[in-house]
Amino acid sequence: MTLEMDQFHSGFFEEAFESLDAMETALLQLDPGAPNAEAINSIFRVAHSIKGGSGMFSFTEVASFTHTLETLLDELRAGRMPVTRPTIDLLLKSTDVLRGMLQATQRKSPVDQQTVADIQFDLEQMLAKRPSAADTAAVVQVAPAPTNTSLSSAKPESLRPKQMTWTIEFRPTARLPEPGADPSRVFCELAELGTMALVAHADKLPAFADLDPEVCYLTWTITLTTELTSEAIQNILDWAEADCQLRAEEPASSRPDPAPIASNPPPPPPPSPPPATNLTPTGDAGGNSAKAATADSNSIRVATEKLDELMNTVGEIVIAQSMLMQLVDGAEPPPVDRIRAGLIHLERNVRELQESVMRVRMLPIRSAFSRFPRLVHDLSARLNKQIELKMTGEQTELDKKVLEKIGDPLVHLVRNSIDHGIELPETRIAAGKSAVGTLFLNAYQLGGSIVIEVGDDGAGLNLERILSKARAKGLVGPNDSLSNEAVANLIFQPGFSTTEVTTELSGRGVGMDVVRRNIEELGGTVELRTEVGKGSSVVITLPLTLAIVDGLSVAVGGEVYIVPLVAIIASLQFKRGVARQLAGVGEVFLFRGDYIPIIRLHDAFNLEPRCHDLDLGSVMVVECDGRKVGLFVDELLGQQQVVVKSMETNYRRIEGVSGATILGDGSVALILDIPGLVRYAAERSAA
Amino acid sequence: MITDPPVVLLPTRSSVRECAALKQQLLALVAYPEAVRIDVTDVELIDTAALQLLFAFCRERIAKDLSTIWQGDSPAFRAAATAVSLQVGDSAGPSSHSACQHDA
Repeated sequence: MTLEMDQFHSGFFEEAFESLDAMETALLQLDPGAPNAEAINSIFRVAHSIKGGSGMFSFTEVASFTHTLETLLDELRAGRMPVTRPTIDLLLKSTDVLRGMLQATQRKSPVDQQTVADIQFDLEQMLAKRPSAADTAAVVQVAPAPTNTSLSSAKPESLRPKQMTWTIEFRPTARLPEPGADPSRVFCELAELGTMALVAHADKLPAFADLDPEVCYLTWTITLTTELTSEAIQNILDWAEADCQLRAEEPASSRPDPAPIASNPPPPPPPSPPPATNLTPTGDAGGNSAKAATADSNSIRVATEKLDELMNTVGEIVIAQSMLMQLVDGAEPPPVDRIRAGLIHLERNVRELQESVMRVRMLPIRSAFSRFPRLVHDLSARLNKQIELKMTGEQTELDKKVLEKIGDPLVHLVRNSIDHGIELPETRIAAGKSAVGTLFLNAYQLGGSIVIEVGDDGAGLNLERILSKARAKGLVGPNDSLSNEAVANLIFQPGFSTTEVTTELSGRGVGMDVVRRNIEELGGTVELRTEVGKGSSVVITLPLTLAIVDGLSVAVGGEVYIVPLVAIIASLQFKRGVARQLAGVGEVFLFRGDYIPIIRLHDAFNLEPRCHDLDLGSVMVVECDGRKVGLFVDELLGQQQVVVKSMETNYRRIEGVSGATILGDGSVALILDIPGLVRYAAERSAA
Repeated sequence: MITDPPVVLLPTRSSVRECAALKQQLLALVAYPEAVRIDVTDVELIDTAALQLLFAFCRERIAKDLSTIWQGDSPAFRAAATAVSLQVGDSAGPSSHSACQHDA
């Protein structure tokens, strides 16, 4: 496989996956009672495009499957078959299979033949059951999808089985380096439909000196005799970057043989027996496969406006740097005030550059939300629930890394809402609600954070039941009194579930603790709101990016550490005697009515501190997973934004440290892992 | 004095990306008064752009009544030329589907 072909493949797969997503969305919006003609056309076009592309790249299994799919869609758009719920469901399953086939092809791994065969069989069965022409009177009529080539057939479609001879005037329009622009691929596809004769015309070829090698001046007349319809031909021509005129002619039997080549060909190479020539070098195929498989997650599409913005800022920096150089090199002594002003200007430019680069990494949350219409459709059907999904704020942008990691937690939350939150229609009606429940996903930016809400108008959490279950599991003491918020938060405890019946979807107590952990690993927080009979919502707050952290720098011994601001609740200066020793917990202090353990950071990191007495240093109260800890440090230095460097990538993982950064003086400061330190405090107490 | 005719050795991969360089090479020879040899032996891949360029070169030399000699053999060259109906000489005729073997 050549690198160039890899690039073509990569482009094809990227487009195919995007098209499949669009197809799925269109299918989910299709109303069986009143199918939208344009929606059916758009679905057809996706299948048609994927078929054409896969055929062109010789992905024969994909091409064959999409051919069957396309045939069914063709029947639907022509109004020869009704759009029913089972048809939509089968088409949705087909998109899943097609996605799986494309993924397998992209990874160069085997396709799941059984699944493909099953769905292909179902598609064929559905086609076999299509109603006769008389039955289709009431079926919606859909105009054929517009194509970029003109088509005129002299024969009606009803004469389909009869052999026809088609003449195609083929004039390439794209420049030849464009992917798929080489006409030979189209000719090969057409040749598979029947008997083909090809005549090249060179009348538009300019003088050799004026010839642009990237322009195709040659044109062709194709004569194709086939039993297939004009659509089959058009399907292939649609893929050609060419102006094509297709016309039907006399039946094949009465046609003379096609004319010979109309152009002056170069003289022949000697007709010696051809040596075995390897046309498809395979040297780097294996090496590229892994790269191809991971290409999606390692690449990012960037709007040109963002790149322009980046270029502008870089230009400003170059100007500022040049101005500073002139100031330093020119006058003696250097004009300090002007240099200082220049540096301030440069600092502003660098900050703008940082913000522009961050914006390049930002992607709309739409890509994480896009899976939910299908999920809601499938799960609500399986659970006999009626659910309307309302999504808002899909344009809200989030760092690519955060976006990749937020998908699974969101799926957990949506599944929980469908399974446990929203009631069955009869239950809702009995409760005076609409039979159709609402599941909402909302995203918006709040300051330097992104907020995502996942909620429903279902039954809400049964707090009494949660408390009783927690007591039975020993998570809460028999006499402990908890606020409603604290009770609701018990569902985030590992292994906690109040569901009596474990379903395929949820109820195993695996999920909500993972959701919280994943979000906290992203530096975010989770908040649960619930009201009995009204519904529940989970509010996730995430940092805009993982690349930069707002932190408080603190001194411990001779070292500087960064504490992420998002975890800090308060910074305190102790009076002597505030801390107490508590059996089994260690050193604690009273904070807002609760005793909180103290971690002396110099102990945790085995350093010699400047001060041992709590009243001489500072304590920061940090929180994670609903637990608070006081971190004792020598001194609070100040707040600053830091660029996060991975410890694992540059050194190795260190307990209690989530990353590192380089300070203004060039020294390295470690960024504290607050969840890790909270766990450390809990383990210390347990020990 | 008899001199060897100049030889244009087509590269293993003769595609649109290589055409700019190939055109420069051919441009220098388009009016060469003696026969020009084009050696296709090494060609493992050739696309329509390169074939069109060679075709234009030959046509211009034919118009000037100059000779171009084809040298060597390459199944890839033959197949590609056949696929776009630029197959050559005695075998001139409609393209054959079996000739359509492609890879970039």
